[in-house]
Amino acid sequence: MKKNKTISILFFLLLVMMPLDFYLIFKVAPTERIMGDVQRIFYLHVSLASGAFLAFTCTFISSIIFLWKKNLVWDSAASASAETGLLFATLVLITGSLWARPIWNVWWTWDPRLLTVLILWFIYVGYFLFRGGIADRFKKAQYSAVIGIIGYIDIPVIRYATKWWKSIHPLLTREGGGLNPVMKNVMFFSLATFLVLTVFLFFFRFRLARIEERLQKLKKLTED
Amino acid sequence: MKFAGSAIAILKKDILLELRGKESLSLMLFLSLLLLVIFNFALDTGKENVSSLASGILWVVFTFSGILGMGRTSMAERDEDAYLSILFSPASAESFYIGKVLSNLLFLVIMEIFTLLFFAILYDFEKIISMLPQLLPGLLLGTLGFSLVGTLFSFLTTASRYGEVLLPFLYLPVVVPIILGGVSSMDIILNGKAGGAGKWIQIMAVFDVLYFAVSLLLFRYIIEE
Amino acid sequence: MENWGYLVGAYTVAWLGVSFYLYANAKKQKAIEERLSDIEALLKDRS
Repeated sequence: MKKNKTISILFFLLLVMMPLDFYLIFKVAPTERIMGDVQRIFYLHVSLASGAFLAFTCTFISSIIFLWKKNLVWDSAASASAETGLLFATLVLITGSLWARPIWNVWWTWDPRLLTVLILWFIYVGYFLFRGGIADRFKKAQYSAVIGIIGYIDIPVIRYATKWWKSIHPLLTREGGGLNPVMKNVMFFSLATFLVLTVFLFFFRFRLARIEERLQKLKKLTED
Repeated sequence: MKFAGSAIAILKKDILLELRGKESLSLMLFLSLLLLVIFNFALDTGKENVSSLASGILWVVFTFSGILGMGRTSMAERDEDAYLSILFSPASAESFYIGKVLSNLLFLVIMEIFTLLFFAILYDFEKIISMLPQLLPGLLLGTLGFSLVGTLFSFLTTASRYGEVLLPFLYLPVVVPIILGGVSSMDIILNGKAGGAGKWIQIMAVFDVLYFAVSLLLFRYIIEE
Repeated sequence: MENWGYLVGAYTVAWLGVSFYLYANAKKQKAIEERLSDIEALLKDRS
């Protein structure tokens, strides 16, 4: 595989940060008094969620720039980041479920935060279903940019509506929340690590999208 | 004024087409009736339950009949390339969008009145008709939200080779706040539950304003060739 | 420590998910790079 400077730098950064993060999470962070070791899922879960939001924000911004500049590079950026975001959102839902089972004794809870991620997940699955059904390259880019924008501005409304809905039907309250200083620092480092991972995955996918584009162009050229 | 004029011209055109037997409205009404019957089998709708189930049943019917109707009208528009001739006419994309939102809104409202009426008859629940004035703000704001998002997305999906089948996958997640607001506010008012209906009206109003503004900005990107 | 299965499960799923995603993308990237160099060679021969 051809070398790419940004990807190499991010890769080596992760090579250092990832093991260190795992060391901090499993060895340095103290065991939570009530929840026990399971609480360590929290560091992963929250970091993945932040990564997903970063990726979807990138999709939103790239979509706007695409509609403005009409350059397909921005569509590749939008779809690459949406894919990274979708991967992370999927993992957020799975780790959330694995957290809810031992702590709240249920596999799923209609917590506003989880619900927001689930609906976002549906929106971006729809985004890719839609992309799969359009042959024209430019139309695909233009229309999915519209979905990328519409879907993203829904996040605060969904968040607010589900929160208000829950306040009427209280089911489970979120325990804990009070992290001690060591836990807080581990959390910060974990966030940083996963944001680097998000950027790394994005560039990795983006490079693939660019080369796919070039292949399509060359194919057309050889057919003519 | 020209702007409003062309929007109303599109609304008039859709009403005329519907009167001439483009069957999207009758299909919507038929689906509503069918869903009401199926819910009667699926749920225990005895006298003591109807009041608490009403808002849920009604909004599910509104949602699905609405998807069917909006998908059909834009598909017809695309099939005949009717929208192309509109593009070359002085009507801009924005007034075209507003005209389509109004015509979808009109058909949705007709479908909802029909559904409410048949709900009262089939489920022996006249209260829903007598309480209509209180329910009206929630119904209207919710329906407007459906129409704003539905019009935009139904035009998007016509470009896909899957067509209108794709509409629910894009549309339903986005209108979640409207469904939540519609169901909750109606439930609160019907069953005299403690406060909060006003808050839901507010959330739906914010949704409508937000989506009206954004759709107006984005609509021209999905009909320009 | 009776719940360690959930903890290990969560980290394993995340790890596997990301690794598989990277692996699949890397494989695709490599395949396309090979095809690209084939086509480029073909174009050179022709000209």
